[in-house]
Amino acid sequence: MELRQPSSLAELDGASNTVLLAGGTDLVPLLRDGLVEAETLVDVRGVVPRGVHQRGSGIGAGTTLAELEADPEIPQALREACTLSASPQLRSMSTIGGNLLQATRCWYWRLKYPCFLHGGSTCHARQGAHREHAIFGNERCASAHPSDPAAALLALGTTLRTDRRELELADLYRLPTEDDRDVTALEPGELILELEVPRPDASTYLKAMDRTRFSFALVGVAAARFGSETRLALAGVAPVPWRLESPGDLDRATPLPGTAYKVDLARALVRRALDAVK
Amino acid sequence: MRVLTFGIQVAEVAVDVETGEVKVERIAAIHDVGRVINPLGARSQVEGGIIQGIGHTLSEARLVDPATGRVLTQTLDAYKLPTIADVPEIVTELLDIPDEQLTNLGSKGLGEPPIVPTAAAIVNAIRDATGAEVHELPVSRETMLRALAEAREREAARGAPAAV
Repeated sequence: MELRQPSSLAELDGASNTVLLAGGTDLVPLLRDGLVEAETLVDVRGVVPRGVHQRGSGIGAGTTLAELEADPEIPQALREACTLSASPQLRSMSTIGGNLLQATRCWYWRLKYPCFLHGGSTCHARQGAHREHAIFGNERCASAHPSDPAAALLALGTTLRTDRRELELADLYRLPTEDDRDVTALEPGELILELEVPRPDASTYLKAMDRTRFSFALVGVAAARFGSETRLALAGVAPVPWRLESPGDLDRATPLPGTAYKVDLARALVRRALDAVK
Repeated sequence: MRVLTFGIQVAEVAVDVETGEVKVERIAAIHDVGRVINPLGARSQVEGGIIQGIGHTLSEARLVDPATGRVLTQTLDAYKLPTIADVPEIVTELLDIPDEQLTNLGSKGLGEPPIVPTAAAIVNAIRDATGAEVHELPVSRETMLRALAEAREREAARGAPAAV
């Protein structure tokens, strides 16, 4: 395997079978386990902006979670989502851009069962062990999206700038389909450069997990209030970060037998999050 | 050699009755381990045993795929050991009564005994706090929310005001 370390975007020539590397906290284990294969790794830390500007509304995609959680200009929901993610060691390495693209923790996918997400025809989790899995968008693939910051950024109405275009964070994600099993809409080799985050009047992120720290969300709830409008987004409940138009959307959840408790958990956390941003 | 270590353990917990979160706030452990030869080492054994007990009580679950029999929780993000954030205040006392009949140093075994009563102490504390009866481990959010709902139903059937 070859490692390239370009210092400008022009040097990113989109060669085939290259994989982009930033903090490496998600990618390196995926490479180790054979879930991602690459002939060439391209370390993008020399080309992706890092740091926070415009009083917290402009975030370089190379900014680490540790930098975001410590920055008082960053909206509370994003800071809390970063603080409740992973461990201090991982947060000091992992970038916000990479965090948005991290792979699911579904054990069937990680153990390379020939599941829907891997191109197969069935979701093994639906019939098997699925206590950590989805309650929305889970008809073909019941995996849960693991990112806490993604839910916070979705509630905040974030826009992304890549090396090719601007897109809403909501449009970065898509449920896997028969024709395309990917959960993001990025083109091959497309690189997230910056995030534009609207400033809310109040925001929060609440997370239920199996232990106090260092665990992926069973349910994460982000709420952001802009004037009289409050936006809600959930982590750990669907193959992609999930927007709720209103708390009543939880009545339309489609839980599996082993994930029905997540609906109750989400209801309790949504209620609290709405109280917190009143 | 028979293991003749005796002890008692008491747990204090806080239960969030809406989210099923269980937080162990304090555990007291008093054990008769015979003569205490190395006080720091002995206390550490008790603390380590209690932390192991908290793990299997609250978060550690080995899951097996029913179709293939494969263990699914093969990594430390899937099989959840407690972290230091899950460790409560632990109060340890050792009686330090040498048992000359048992060994030539008058000491007894220690290490595993503090693991054993931890789960019972925690779920009894949960019942004392909420009325919810838990009969399976680990006490996951799902298990706890179900036990709380059953406790509410029992209270309602008795016509008494619900405690939770």
